[in-house]
Amino acid sequence: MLKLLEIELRKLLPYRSFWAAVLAYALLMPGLFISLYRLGVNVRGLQLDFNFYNFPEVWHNTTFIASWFNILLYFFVLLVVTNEYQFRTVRQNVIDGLSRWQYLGGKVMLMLLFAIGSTALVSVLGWLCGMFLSETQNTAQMFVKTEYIGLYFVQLLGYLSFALLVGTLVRKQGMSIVIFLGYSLVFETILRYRILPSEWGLGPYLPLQALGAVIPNPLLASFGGPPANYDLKIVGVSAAYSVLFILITGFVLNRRDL
Amino acid sequence: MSTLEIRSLSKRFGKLQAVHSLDLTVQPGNIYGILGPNGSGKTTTLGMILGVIRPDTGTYQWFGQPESHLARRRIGVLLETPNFYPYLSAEKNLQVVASIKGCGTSRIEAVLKQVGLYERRKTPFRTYSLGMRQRLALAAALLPDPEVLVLDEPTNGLDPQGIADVRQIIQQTGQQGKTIILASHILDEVEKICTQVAIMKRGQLLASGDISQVLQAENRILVASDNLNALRQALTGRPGIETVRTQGALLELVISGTPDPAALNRMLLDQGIVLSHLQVQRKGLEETFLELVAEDVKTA
Repeated sequence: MLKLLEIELRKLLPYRSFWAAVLAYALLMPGLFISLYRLGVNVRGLQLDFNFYNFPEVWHNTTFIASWFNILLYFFVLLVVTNEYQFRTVRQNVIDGLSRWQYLGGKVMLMLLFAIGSTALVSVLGWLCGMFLSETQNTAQMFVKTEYIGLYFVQLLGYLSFALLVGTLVRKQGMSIVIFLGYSLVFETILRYRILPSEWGLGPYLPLQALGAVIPNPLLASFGGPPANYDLKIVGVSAAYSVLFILITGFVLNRRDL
Repeated sequence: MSTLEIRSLSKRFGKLQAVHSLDLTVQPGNIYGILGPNGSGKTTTLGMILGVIRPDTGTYQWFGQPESHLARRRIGVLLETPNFYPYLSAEKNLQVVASIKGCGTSRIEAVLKQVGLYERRKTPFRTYSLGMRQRLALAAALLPDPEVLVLDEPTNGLDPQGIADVRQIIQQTGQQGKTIILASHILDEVEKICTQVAIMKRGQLLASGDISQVLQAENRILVASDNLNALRQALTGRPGIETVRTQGALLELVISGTPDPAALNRMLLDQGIVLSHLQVQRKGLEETFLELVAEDVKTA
């Protein structure tokens, strides 16, 4: 498997768009974190000040904010996957001696690398925010809610697996973006709220609905809303979707002429 | 053990039967030409035996082993248009190929020199001309020092110098005792390089075997006389004369064996027929080939 990752990295490391994406990612995320420090909001003349970075809520808050950047990685995976079809290099890779499952394995390794790297970045940033910006420095509180780091990983891997599937199915860059947006913004929303009878209770378990709910929005609670706790069932379903997306991608790859 | 054994391989694309129940055997050391007009199924066949096109039916074996991606690592391939990462240099592209093939990077410099791309090894693939791309594809095929080379229209897009270079490389490789499978629609190319040939048309095999047998130049004699009908009657069914065809004011005779115009003339004089035209002609391979592929494929 490491051999497959090596092949992927040989393709990727000299690729400028990759470094552009990494740079954007590594600068924008801390930038946003810093800019959100002591966010003051004026609601109808009422001045409210928030600190998102108090232990232990910092883990929930930072992973939630960081998940907005998932879209960047999502599009990057889409780019990497569709490139292989645009350049017809997937065909070349197979001719040169990769099996189709190995080709898929390389892509999955790459996604794992992205997800692990991003999770590590968020963990470090979250910890730094907590250490320097938290008003409470109670060691006992520091590691409560660190499970949100795990949730972040599950959610990101889910999105990237979905990108892998969409990119493989559609093959064309522009079209795959259109299809992703159309599916996530329109199709699934209509399916959830208009087509599926709500008493079935299936709506929240549609792929992107579930993925989006892995880390529930904590900011509402910060503004005095009800506490947002994660739902293990949603998390499990999301992890299962990752596996499913990767397997479907494998079957599609295996059946198709390249 | 055959290098490649294809058994009743078929592939249909929608309404088009691209390859129809194809059988083919390539022995080690063969320089095997697959000859056929555009759209005859050559590339589809190669795509199937190289794992990128799924056959509808049939099987193939490389080196006597069941289908496996590992066999492909022992084969150097140039199939259709060269496919490389446009943002990577020649060198980096070959590194990707090397890590897939598991063959190490030590030969990269040598193959780039061999195809004449060494000076441009650092520039990105996207800046290459068609000829340079084709050369890089050939370099990639040669990189693992493979036992078998599969080449699909390898001189496509090359200038005359490039064509000569590529043919020389193929011949050199063949002289090392390696097996080469060369698909081409250019008869001259196959004739110059190959020892065996298979001729394809509309997805079917028309003929296969040693190139001298398949593409045998047939001998023809053109004759004419004042009474063409009498002449035709006198010639039809004669031993040694395979066919009699009218060609304008002439009759074309296809002769089996060595033509003997003197004997023919004497024989006709004995029957009171005086020839006004007598000409021996050797038909080129080109014509034989065109004739072969022009005949409709009737066998289902």
